[in-house]
Amino acid sequence: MRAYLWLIPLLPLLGVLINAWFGHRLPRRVSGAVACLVVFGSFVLGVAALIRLIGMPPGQRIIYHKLFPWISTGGFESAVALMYDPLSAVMVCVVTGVGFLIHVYSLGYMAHDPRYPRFFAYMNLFTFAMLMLVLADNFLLMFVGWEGVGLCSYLLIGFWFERKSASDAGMKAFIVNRVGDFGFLLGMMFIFAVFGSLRFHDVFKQVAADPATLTLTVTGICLLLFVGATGKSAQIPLYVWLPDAMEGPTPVSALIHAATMVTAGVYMVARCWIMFLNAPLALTVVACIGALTALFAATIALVQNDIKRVLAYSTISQLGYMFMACGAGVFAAGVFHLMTHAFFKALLFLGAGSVMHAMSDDTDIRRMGGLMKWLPVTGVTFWVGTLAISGIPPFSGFFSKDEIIWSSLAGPMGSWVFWVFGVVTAALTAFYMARLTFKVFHGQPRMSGEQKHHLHESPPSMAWVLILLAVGASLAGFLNIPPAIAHLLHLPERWTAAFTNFLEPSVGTHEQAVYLLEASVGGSQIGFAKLAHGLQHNAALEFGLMGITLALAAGAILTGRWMYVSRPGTGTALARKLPFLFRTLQNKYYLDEFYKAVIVRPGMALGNALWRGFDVLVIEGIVNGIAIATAIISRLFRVFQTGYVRNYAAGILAGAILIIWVLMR
Amino acid sequence: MPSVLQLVFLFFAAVTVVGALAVVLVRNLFHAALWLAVTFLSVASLFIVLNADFVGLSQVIVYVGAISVLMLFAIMLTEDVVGARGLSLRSAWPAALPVAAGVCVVLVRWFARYAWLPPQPPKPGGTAGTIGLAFIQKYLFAFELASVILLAALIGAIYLAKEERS
Amino acid sequence: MTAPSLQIITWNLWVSAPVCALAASAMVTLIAGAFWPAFARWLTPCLALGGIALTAAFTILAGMLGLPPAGMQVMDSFTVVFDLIILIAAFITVLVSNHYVTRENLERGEYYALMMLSASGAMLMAASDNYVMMFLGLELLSIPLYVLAGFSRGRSESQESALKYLLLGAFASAFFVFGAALVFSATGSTNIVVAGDATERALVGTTPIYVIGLAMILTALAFKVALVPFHMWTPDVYQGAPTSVTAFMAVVAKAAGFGALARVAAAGPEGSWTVLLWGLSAATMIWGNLLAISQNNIKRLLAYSSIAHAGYLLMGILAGGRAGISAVLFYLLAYAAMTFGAFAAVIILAGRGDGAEDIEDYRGIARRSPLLGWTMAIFMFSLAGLPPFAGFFGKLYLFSAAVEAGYPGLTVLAVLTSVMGVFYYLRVTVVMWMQEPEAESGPAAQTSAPLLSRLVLSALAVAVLALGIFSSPVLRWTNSGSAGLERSAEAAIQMTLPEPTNAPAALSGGSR
Repeated sequence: MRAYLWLIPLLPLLGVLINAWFGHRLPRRVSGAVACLVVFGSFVLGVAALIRLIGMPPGQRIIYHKLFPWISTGGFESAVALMYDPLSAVMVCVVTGVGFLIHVYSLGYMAHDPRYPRFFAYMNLFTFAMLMLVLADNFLLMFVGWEGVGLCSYLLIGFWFERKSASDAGMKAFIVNRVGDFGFLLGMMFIFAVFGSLRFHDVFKQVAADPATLTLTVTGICLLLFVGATGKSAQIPLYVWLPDAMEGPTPVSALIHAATMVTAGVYMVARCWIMFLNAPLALTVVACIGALTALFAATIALVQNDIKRVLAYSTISQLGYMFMACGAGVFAAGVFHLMTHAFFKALLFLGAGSVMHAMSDDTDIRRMGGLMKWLPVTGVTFWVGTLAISGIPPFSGFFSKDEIIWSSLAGPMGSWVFWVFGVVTAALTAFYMARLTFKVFHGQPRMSGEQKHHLHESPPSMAWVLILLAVGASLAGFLNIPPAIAHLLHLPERWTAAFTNFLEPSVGTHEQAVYLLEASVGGSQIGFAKLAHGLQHNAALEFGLMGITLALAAGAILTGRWMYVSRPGTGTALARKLPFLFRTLQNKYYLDEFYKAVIVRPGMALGNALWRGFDVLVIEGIVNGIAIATAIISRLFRVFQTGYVRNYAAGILAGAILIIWVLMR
Repeated sequence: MPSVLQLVFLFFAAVTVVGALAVVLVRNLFHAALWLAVTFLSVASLFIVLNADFVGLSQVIVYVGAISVLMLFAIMLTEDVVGARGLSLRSAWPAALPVAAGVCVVLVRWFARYAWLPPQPPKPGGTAGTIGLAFIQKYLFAFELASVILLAALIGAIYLAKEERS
Repeated sequence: MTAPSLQIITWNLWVSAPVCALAASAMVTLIAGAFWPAFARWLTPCLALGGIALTAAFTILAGMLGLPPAGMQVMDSFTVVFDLIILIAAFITVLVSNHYVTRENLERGEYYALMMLSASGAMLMAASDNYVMMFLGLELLSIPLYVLAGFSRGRSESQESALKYLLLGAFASAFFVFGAALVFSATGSTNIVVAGDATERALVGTTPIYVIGLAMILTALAFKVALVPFHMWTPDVYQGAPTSVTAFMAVVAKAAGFGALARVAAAGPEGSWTVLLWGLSAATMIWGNLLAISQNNIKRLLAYSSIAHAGYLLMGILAGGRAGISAVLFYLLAYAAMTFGAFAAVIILAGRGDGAEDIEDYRGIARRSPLLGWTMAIFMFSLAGLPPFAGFFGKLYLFSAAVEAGYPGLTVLAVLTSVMGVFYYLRVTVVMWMQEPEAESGPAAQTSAPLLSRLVLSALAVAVLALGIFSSPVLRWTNSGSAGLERSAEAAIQMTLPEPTNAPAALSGGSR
């Protein structure tokens, strides 16, 4: 088992090397095939390891593999070591599985790009970095993957660097991520300072052994780590890079939004569950940020007219959900949503790419409509994605979202406030997705004649990927049927909450969470944990709340149909009636402008001033100073520096005298 | 009261120093080379005074016989140097003087403190035999290696001096 | 006086096998180049590569035999590790040279033969436990280098470089011989460890003479590795010499000097010795980095950078012990990979006749050739000591060894000066990546190169990365080398070999 664990990240790296060196020599077909095959190979290995993991007793489902010691100097030791536990397994399978489908899709999508091999080299590198991130058994190696993902996102978002907006977006992603990475790095340094190790196992063991005294320190560390997570997973206030990230090729957006990169933050929080549960304050911050982001991004998505931009904001919103679940203390729910989201968001993005493909790269939904006729496969699969993200049963989103909404109330740190946020966001999600789908695929065609002439369904390689993802998005939910429903339908025990049970060794059980929380605040001061415990088994309440959510979502979809298909003018009329609200949303709460005014502009001004001052005083000073100093020195020591051998020899002799003098002193 | 041997030593030492100074100070390059030969000779004499007969004779054969003559040929064949007044080294004085003074101070300071032992009486039969045996026994590898070094120098000299064909 | 005997070879030839193998291969290469000039283009480099590989095999074999020191040489694990580093460097030199000598019409058997002879001298220097042998190694290293520096006979800069190097090198060698003579006269031994044994000297009262001798030996070695203030020849010679020779000089000659320093360092007098190395190291780091900033010619920049790196390396020698020497060996390996990489890129970029050697000529080259852009960026990052490249780990190990040995002040200085280094290394990268190519501004840098050059370039980049990522196993290997050095020194002290009775009287006269 161990023997091939290291192959999982190595295969994509091999793909990188092949495509970077021989890519331009190989035929395009081979170059692309290599890139896809290596990811598929990783996927197969990941699944094989997963099967092996399931075969082990639940308590021991963890495989360590120390590849080699990396840094060993003085008091600091760190190894390149991999770890495969249920959480890693889920991440590996999602990253490689969905990643593989996106790679295959890219074969067709990027077919005409001149930098084809370089694209696949970057994609494989991205996969490699993400695999290192999720397989690492210590913070340092995780950080390497973390940085690698950041670098690759910069390269891929700015892949079409000839377009200024693209290279700007790449730069923005890079810089915003740097801010987050700085938090992560600081957190890591604190971890090493406090625990003397960076291995997950060592750190978590120490935290679990002594939760009461460590709470304060751990809270600080967790907040710093969470800063890193907000950067990578696009949460308030560092979400600004993600909407711009769609400047990259669409498969890149799919890869960033669905399988890799943005999930890194959620993964990291889930990985550090013991630490976060030991820091209730940090956990509350996580939940609040998650809930706020979810609602906030959903409202912006309501009025965007760019098909990829709507999806981008929806990603931010869904990530908010995941953090809300983690913040409520139910990490399994967050990871489950991460997985289902990977399916349906990849599906939606690739569907959007297919639409753009057909529409000659037009992304404005105001110029679409009625596309179902021309793009039946894309249309149907896009509908699957929409229903899944809206939480309509039996699609996967229903199960995962319902679990999050229920956990936000019933989790150990749950609260009715989070529940309200979750339900409202669910309704908004259903509405904007319905708006998007109806506007694109139904109603009257609004595109120009020429565009209409060119409309065509995507090639089979892209269509099949959509179909496969649609199957995944439909069925993935059944991995985790909530106990209440399972009980109702008299399903066998092993069908009930299978995913959560599988994940529990990695992210803890409800009882463990409550224990840690209570220990960290000292005794049973948090009564709501007990209350939540009571709620946990209140099936009637669960069904009631589920019904509310479902009704709202269904209502929202129907409203969307009414507004954009039956009465196409309604939306515009509404916008005219509420101009202020509409414009605020349209401009994303003016937050980009706010950032520009409050941070970027003063920053630039400060930078400019500094730069001028620096430039004039320091750089020119140094340059001139060097020139002057060199002139003075060369005038003083011309005898040594004119290139005359005799002067150099005199220098050597003088040096020898100096050496003798020092030695004989 | 210095012994006769010491007086002879001092004489050749003085000649060596004067000769070396002349090499540096004389303007004419040809004269400088001649002075160099004088210096080499007196160094050879010093070796012989110190009972190092083999080294002294080698010094005469190699340095006086070969190197000095080679230099003289080179100077004579390079026409524009023979008649020239030579290079002016006046600009080098400010750098050379403190360095030379430093060397002088350091050497005098520490060598003067050291209680030098008188030379040992000469061994019968000279040193050539001993050195020869050492070369083919203990120092054989070093000896052979020296020939490799000479070979490298030879290759280099041929390469650099050879006329370009074509 | 003993009677002449027929027993001539008194030591196990295996100790000298690596050096002999390399020198013999050099002869074969030379002869092959002379007899079949028509095939010289591919035959001589192939023979050179084969010879180097053969020598590596001999080295490993000889290392496994566990031989006692003999013939003024030691075949301990330090020698093995060090020889292999030199051989790797020589191997890379052949590969890197190929493009250059073909382009500049220098493809002759002499080139590779001289290079291999020089490498064998480098190996000898580190393998010798005796000043006589070390001197022979020094000369065997240097004399071919003088010729190689002037190998481009058509270019006067190359000639000037060779002459400067020859004159100053001979001057420095004279220091070595004179120093060795003084050491011998003070201690009656030319064995480094035996002569360094202070107890016997103190009895006779010859310590001052010994120290002056050692100071002179140190002067010669400091010249070879270009420590301040013995560095002044470096920029002139590096700039004028053929670029492939410059690379060889920057790596192998420097490594040889440090190999010898590692053997000699333990023999220094206590107290003032560390003060001296401290000062030399500090001066070298500061001066090298300071002057590198204002360079515009890439070869001069790399020359000053090599001076700065010598300062860092000297820290490891100063720290000494297992950690210090091991860090030096590791750093030499890392330094070899990144320096050869940088020079390989410079060779390609310069174009025929070495036209484009100014940093400004590289404007925007990365857009035209991502390979050169990426690899050069990797080498520069590594030279600047940024993680996760080899240069970072090399510095990390050196610095931590220095801290552990009790030189925090010097380490702080080293960190500060390496920050200065970041400035000029990154400048090269910035010019290549960020600046627009200017039309009609001097000679344009070339990007086309034969497949072999491109492969070597990428392989070196991978090596720089791999040495960073897999630094631990490599460090374990270099650790075995430094352990071997320690063991040999202990063994030599215990043996305290009696000097041969048949030593020439003239040489041993005076002190005893």
